[in-house]
Amino acid sequence: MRVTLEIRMANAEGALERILGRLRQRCFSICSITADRSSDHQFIDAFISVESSRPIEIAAKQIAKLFDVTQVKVHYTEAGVHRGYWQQQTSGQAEARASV
Amino acid sequence: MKGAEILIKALEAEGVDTIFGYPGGAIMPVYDALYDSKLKHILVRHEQAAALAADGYARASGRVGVCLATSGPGATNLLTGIANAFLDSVPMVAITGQVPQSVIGTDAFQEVDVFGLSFPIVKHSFLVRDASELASIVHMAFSIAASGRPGPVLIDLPKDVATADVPEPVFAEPEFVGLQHPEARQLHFAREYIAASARPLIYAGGGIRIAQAASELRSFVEATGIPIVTTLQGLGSIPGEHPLNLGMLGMHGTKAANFAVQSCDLLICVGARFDDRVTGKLAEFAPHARVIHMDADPAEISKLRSADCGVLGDIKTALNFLHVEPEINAWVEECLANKQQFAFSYDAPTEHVYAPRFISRLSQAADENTFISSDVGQHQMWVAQHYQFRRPETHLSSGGLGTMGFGMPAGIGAILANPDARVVTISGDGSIMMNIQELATVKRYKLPLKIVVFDNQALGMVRQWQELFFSERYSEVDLSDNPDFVLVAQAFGIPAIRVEHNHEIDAAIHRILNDDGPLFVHVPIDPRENVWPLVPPGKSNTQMMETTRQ
Repeated sequence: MRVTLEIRMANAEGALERILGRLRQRCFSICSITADRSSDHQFIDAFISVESSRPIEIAAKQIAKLFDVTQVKVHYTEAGVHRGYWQQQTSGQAEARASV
Repeated sequence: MKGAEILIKALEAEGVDTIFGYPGGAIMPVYDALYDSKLKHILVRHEQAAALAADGYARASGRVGVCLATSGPGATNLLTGIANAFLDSVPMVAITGQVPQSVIGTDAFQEVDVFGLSFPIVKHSFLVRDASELASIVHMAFSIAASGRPGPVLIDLPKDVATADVPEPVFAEPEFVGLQHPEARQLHFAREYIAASARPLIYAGGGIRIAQAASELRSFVEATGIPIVTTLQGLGSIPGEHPLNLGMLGMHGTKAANFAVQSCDLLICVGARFDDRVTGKLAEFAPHARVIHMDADPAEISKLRSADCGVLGDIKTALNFLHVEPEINAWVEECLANKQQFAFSYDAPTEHVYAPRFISRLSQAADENTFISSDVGQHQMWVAQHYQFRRPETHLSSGGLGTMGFGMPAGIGAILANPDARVVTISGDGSIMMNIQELATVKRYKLPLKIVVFDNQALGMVRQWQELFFSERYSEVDLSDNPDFVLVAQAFGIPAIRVEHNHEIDAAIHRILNDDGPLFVHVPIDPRENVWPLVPPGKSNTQMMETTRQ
């Protein structure tokens, strides 16, 4: 199944690399990727299309746990038709960040 | 103030009292700052042992363990210990020296990209670019390591940052972010499931130790009367002797535990993660059960087994809310009958010392303030099966990564975290050689660590699998040319004895529990002895093999 992840992360050293590594390790192959800095350079917004036989929801939660990641949305697409999305705000890590 | 001084002050501000490390070129400014510090630095003899000792310190104390190494090989030697902490959710801050920023990326002497290497095995990692950020980075590292589901955090510190002079920063107080309160709706579902169940079973894991929820778990067990099984990391979450404790489940679990899992109608998973060593063939694990899964990590709930009710957040709160009394008398009687029928027996006549009997006797003689750190292999499973742990933090075992060489460094960490406790490392002749150099650390710091080595002159667990699953083709498992371990220990200045006969066991255990200083106990055992029961790989937990040897 092919889905697209929309991920907002801090514009921090290694942030995108961690996400790509986690996707690879959790058995997702990357079909396409677009990433750019936000206008204020505080964030990176990435759109990553992936394929796998594994459920994307668990992978999305594992990405959402990353300290640099602030938001993950999963877009379920088929032949280019938008079919809704699943969204996860990071919780524990965001709290940790907010507290320091 | 120099960056290195900021690092040391920041560690002190976090309440750190002990760090484990090994100096080298890129970390020298930090060691120079350490010279004037009140921090207790334990000089190990291999960086891997620094990380494993920090891990043992953290497991035994509930505090964040700290280790320190130089760049390049020092950093890569830490990685196994960092991965070990990651797999078992142990809070740790690992600090590595790095070459100066001006030569990062030039293949400089002892340069390795440990920041990048760390990504799959840490909660987070920092490459410090500016000494003025160092205090807040250290503070964040401790908060991340200890909050939520704990784990290791790496701080990579280039040498020029360590020597940079910046204004003295403000050092924040230690901070721990609490877990979220579980959703009321999920808790009510869980109560309904428990009340409606005729055959419920609790499956408790390492999350109980991490959440310091053993008391709440015991209250839950006793209020509901539900039988309980535990994972390797969950041992001691409920006392081993508790009547409703059916023992460890999984590959080397008890028959009573595995039968209960396979026939329960409700599995209440508390701080465990359906690991493959626990479930056997996943599709056939607890096939008749609805699942309540309580965990602090949202990515664990329904990761491998879909949960009918996921309870995310603070386990203590959840357990306290679930005191209902289901009608389960017949089920409990069935579980307890199995427990009695399939109890381990220690009375088989043996020519050699029988390791399970030795461990069982040690368990009977020891008090609840005795910590056991085990290595990895057959002896590890014998400890899990035959030592009755009373508190979860007293059992230190490398579960997720299965790191041979964990036992002695972890024991060193545990004894430094709890100077008044007894700490016993139980190892094998394969594992002990992985970090045997740490006998020098035991000697140097006069640590009263007791080290028991069960010696079957083989890599016993691998040999067992080759016997059972590889047609007895024993490939590279023979260790019959082991050194004389008593002489080795004595060469390090550690008193050592050999226990070769059953009638010597009690005297040895008396010394293990009462000698003031360290003691190395070499115990030759039957090389043919295996760990039973055993669920073969890929099989369901009902398909337990037992000994075929007469």
